[in-house]
Amino acid sequence: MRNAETTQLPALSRRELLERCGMGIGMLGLAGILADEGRLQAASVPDRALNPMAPRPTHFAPKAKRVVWLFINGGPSHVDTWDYKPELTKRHGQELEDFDKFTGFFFREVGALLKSPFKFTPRGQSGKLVSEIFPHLGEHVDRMAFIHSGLPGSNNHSPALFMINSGQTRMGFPSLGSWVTYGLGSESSDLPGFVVMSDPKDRGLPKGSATNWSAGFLPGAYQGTWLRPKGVPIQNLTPPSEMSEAHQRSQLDLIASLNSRDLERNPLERELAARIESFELAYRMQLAAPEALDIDSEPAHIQELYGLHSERCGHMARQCIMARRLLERGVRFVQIYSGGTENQRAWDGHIDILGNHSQFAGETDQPFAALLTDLEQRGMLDDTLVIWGGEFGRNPVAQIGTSKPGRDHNPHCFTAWMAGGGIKGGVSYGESDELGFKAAVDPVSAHDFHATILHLLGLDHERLTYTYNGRSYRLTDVAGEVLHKILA
Amino acid sequence: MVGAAALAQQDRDDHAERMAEGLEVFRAEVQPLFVSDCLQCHGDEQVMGGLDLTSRGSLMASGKIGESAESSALVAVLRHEREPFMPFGQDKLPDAKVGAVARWIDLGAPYDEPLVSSGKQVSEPGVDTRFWSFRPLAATAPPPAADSTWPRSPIDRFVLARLEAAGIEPNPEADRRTLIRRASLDLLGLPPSLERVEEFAKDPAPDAYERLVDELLESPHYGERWARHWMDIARFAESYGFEEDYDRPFAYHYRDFLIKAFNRDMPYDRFVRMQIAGDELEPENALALMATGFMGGGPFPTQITDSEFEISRYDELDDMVGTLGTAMLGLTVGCARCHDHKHDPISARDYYRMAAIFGRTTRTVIEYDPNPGKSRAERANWEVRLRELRETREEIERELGGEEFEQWLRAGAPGFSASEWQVLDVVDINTASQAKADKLEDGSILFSGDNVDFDTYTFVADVSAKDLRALRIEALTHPSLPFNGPGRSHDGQFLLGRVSMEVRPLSEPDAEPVKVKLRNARATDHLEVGYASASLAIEDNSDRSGWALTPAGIGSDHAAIFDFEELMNFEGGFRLAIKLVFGYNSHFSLGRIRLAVTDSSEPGFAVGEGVSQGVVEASAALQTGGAGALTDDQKALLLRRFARKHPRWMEASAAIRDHESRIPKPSFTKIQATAEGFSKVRHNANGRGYPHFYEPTFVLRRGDVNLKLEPAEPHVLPVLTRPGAEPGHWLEKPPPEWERSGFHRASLAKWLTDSESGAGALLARVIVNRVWHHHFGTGIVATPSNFGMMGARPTHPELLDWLARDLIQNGWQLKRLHRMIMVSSAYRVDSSAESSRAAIDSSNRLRWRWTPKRLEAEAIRDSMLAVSGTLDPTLYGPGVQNESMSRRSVYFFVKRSELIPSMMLFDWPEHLVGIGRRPSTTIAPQALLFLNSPFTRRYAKGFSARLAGLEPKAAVDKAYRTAFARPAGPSETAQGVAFLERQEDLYRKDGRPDPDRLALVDYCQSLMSLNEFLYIR
Repeated sequence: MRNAETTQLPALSRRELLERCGMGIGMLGLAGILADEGRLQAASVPDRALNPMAPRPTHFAPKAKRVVWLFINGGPSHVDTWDYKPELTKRHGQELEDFDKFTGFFFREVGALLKSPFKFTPRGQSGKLVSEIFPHLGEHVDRMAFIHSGLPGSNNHSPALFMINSGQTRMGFPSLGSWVTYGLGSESSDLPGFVVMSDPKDRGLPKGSATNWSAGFLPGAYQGTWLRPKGVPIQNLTPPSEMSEAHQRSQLDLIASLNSRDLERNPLERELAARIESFELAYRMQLAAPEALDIDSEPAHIQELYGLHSERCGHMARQCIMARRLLERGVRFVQIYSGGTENQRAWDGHIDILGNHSQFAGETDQPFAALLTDLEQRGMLDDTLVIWGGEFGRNPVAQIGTSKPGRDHNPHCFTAWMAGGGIKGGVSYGESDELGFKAAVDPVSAHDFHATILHLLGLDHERLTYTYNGRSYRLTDVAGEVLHKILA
Repeated sequence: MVGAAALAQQDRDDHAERMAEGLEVFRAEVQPLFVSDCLQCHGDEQVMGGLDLTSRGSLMASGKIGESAESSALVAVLRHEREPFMPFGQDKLPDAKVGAVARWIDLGAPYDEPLVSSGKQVSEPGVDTRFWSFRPLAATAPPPAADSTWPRSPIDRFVLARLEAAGIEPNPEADRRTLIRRASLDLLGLPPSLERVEEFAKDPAPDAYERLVDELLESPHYGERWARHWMDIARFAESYGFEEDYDRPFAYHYRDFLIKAFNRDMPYDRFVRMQIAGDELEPENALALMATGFMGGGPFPTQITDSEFEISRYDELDDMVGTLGTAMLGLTVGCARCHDHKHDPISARDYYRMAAIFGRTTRTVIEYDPNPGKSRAERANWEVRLRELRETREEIERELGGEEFEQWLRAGAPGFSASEWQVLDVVDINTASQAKADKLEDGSILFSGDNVDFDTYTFVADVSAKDLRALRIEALTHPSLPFNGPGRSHDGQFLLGRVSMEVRPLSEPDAEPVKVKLRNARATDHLEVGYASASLAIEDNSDRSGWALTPAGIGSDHAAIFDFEELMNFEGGFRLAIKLVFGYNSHFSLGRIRLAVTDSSEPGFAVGEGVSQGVVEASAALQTGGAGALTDDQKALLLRRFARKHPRWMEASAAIRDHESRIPKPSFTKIQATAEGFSKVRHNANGRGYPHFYEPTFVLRRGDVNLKLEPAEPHVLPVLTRPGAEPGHWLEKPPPEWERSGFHRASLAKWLTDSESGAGALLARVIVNRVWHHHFGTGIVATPSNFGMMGARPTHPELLDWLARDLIQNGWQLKRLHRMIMVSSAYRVDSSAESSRAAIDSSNRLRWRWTPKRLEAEAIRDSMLAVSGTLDPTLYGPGVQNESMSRRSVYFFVKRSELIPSMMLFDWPEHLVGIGRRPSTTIAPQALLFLNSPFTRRYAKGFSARLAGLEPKAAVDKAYRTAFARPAGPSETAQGVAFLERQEDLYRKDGRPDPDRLALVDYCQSLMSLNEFLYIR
């Protein structure tokens, strides 16, 4: 009879076991973590099997080690933010000939060309013309590389969101953050590698919700950890109320002790060792996560810098400070969403572009600028890639039907910028046409965008692959060109 | 002396000869080997270890080829002289094959063409059926084994033969406690009860284990667990996904079908046929309709722009074809959407011809009566009673037809006014939808059948009266309508968007009809909001605004009156055409209508009353000629008018109405099915004309809807069609007069399950392997959803074919297969890691030991619920999205955007595409769930309550027996007791009440967190 007290193998210490597994026995009983239906991938399997987030070597020397993506959700209007179009002002009120009324979403509400309601002034040494809605961010234009010829994936929110996040308009594909953590692991041993913060103002999640940070067919460990905007940000971080730390510690000790003996009896099962580790990691995470998210411990001048106590932008300041603290502690990839589901809850200025963009720019301008300043003053901007951008742009023609003119979705063009690790500042890449309707010079697809980000992180987008259902997949599918002109 | 030139010439000749010979070796031996065993990792999509076998150039550049074969690294790894041994993770190739490669290298390693393009050649339809999984099932027999005592079943002889060849002795049999826990978790996903474990451990019968397996196979929980396995493969979920992620509230029937099918041991071929063509093959069987949920289970966008209509439909077809391919045939058919399949012989044309089979197939919601016999009986009883009540009233009518009536007639029919409203005698009705229109006795018209999104009714009636002033439209209730109507929307509402009327003299049939202007609309009840009021039905030109009822008005009769702008007067009568347009929202048509006209200048609504033209004529006759001038028919009509005002008659009528309102309605259940010819499901783009499908299905270039090639004829995959089978071989003909669907899917189903000349051999291999995979953790083919070139090769090909053949020969019954596997010695071996055996076969490909496997998300949660004693074992029914429910996890409502967090932690699928093998990850948030989740804590409390009142030592022992099906060992007992004391002490110091109880909760929680709890050993 099998009994806990009997074992067929001489007892090994856990360390011995791990060493034996790592060296000789090799491919024993590997977890399904890398097994796509049984097929094993690259040579460095042991790391991922034991700890999917273990830091991993890059393909070549990286320029950036971490990413923060300021996700401007809903479709920010490029012609009202960073892509100044004098011709649009000139032709204000004229019909745009041959405009396909099905370009946007509301084909019955197509109006004439609409000039930007915002003033543009030259900023920084580069003299970049910047909309008045970004007084703070305008200070940083010399750090930014603008992409003015972005090609959206669709004229519809969720396919376009899926495209810019995962390189496909359909559901089910891993997001950029998942690919990055799959490729690089995480520098943090006690925090999630990929963190997502949604708009904290009760505006809902971006369309398609968690699909936007899904791991798709990659192992679940690589999916984005969504911080709940209210209450406890991460589930199951707090022990049951009646338990003290001492209770939980002795519980952990009991689990560790019994699990270790179980491992000795089952020396071929390497996952068992991984689980022993996972409990210790969880225990550390319990302490680390609240600490990382504790923005109250930031000094007053930092809170001030971000505008934490401002009614207008305090909520986004909170997200940005948390993001910086997470990045500082080794988190690999952070997405901060500004804007919730759609319409007036996001940068989706169908009605009243003036009011909509003033509102959302006002909520983000100071905190985003502060994040750049803060990363810089900590020496982190050199190896932190900062991205600003959403899923599509907006049309140069007005969307009519309400008293205040808006703009409909533009499936032909958008603007994004990058700053920080490996980025050449003060440059613009690509151009939209004279009205800002279509990408005209050097169009940039989502695949190009992704290839460039991976490149900055030291990953070759053609070599970062995962085999699934009999096919080897890449984030960039069969396309993708690195935008060398924006690299420092 | 031989000159230098001659030597050079000799070299060239030698070279040419060697190249020719080398090419021969390449074509005959090396190329097939590279394609089947190497190219997957070395050239096609990836280049592992820098070795690219695609062309001679890339091979030579790899550095793996030396001066000769002996000095080539490639040969060394193939000979297993140097690591990594190749082919990776597979057995060493036969010496003859390695020898061929060596010879080829010595001959200069010539290629005749790059290998990738040669891979494309095989994708011509019907060319390459030599690949192992495409071949017919081999007639294999269990091989003899030296040890005749070990084998219990034919399976064991196959397994043992391989083990003996490798020089490995299988592990000893696991002990009974391990076996019962293994069998129970494996088959039911639940741990055995403590009592059953003890009983089994003590059972002296030699066949105790076999009886246990039989008992487990009879448990209804078996179906729940194995249905869940199939749900992964079928990417089953209960919402649309994408932005809105609307629910599919009637999709759960598919899950229930699966559970029932497994529990009833439905033959697998029928199981497959039902899922593909249940609506065609067994249209009367509700279970078959439920089964068709398979095809429509995928995600689908609900917000699509007009330009996305067609591509969305092709994506949907791709989901159907792709899921069918991987689930049933283990073929990645979907890879051929944009180009010919890169590895398997499936062309893009094959793909679209298969997709065309589903050309008209869409999701639909069908109402069905789960108990038609009962419904029929109730309805019959109701009808009998209704006849009785009507006879009673007729009896009363006859009685009233006596002296009282005659007196009334002689008195000139006092109080009788026939002229207020004259109900139109409608002679023709047209509906845009082809809805069924039935004329009822009272002149009203009842609509049933098709209820399209937007409808238009046209009524034609002839009228002889004069001086007509107004039109009345009655919206009447009826028991057949939702909430009794009068509308046909799901809540009994309607919106009459536009009323128009044309007229021409009866005497001039060719005259151009004249439009009658309507004005002064009024109604007994109408909703007054921006888009609704009775006057909007005539005033604006929109079909989307008009007459609708207030919510309180639903369920009762109402009327609207529209005045004619000019008095209508035609000598010799006239023909009226009245058009009613319902254009506001889906299904907002009227269910029962009565039309009437009047000559009264101030008519009352008089809802529910109507006077037929016959009565008008009778009344006129009465007035001009007196009672004596009436015909018998006219007298009968007037009698009814007289009777209707009589208290006795009214009482009888009230009884009839009361009975009518109690018409027994079958308790219809709605099923989401996937079929042809039923109404389409609601979709946001229906109003913009989204057609749901396009005919015909085209072959697309690069999968682009803008690059259409020729129309695709429905056709099965040539590669799985045996030579000689005629194209019409699988043609299923629909029964006579069948019009609803094309029976293409029925034909597909026949081909799929035809093991002689269709895809049945592969179908059987794939399911046998799936069952094996779930029992042992790894299939005979390690890639259960990919049996193609890119998939793994079978470790025991003869066994696989033997099992597949056995399945087919024994009526495709899966329970028989489960039993055969579970009673085998191969299944019963223990999991110990005996090192001499591990040294030979560390990955246990030969099955000398039991490889422990981690429970899936469902089984972890269900096991916790089970040991906590709080599992609610209710079977079937709608799913629950609340994580705190106590039913088995298979009953979680699978909402794609809100997947259950604790399930996701343990590798629950995203339910977007079929998953044949779940990953088994180990991440810190799982540990956080064990430590801190309120659910875990709740289960721990339940568990500890079962130990309440026991001494610490006894509590520890019972906890072990409950959680692990074994007693605690001495040191475990000591450790447990010490833990309990320490925790109790700490809680006491904290001043908590019930410190002993809390300590026990902590202990139970710890045990449920242990690897021993999470693994099947």
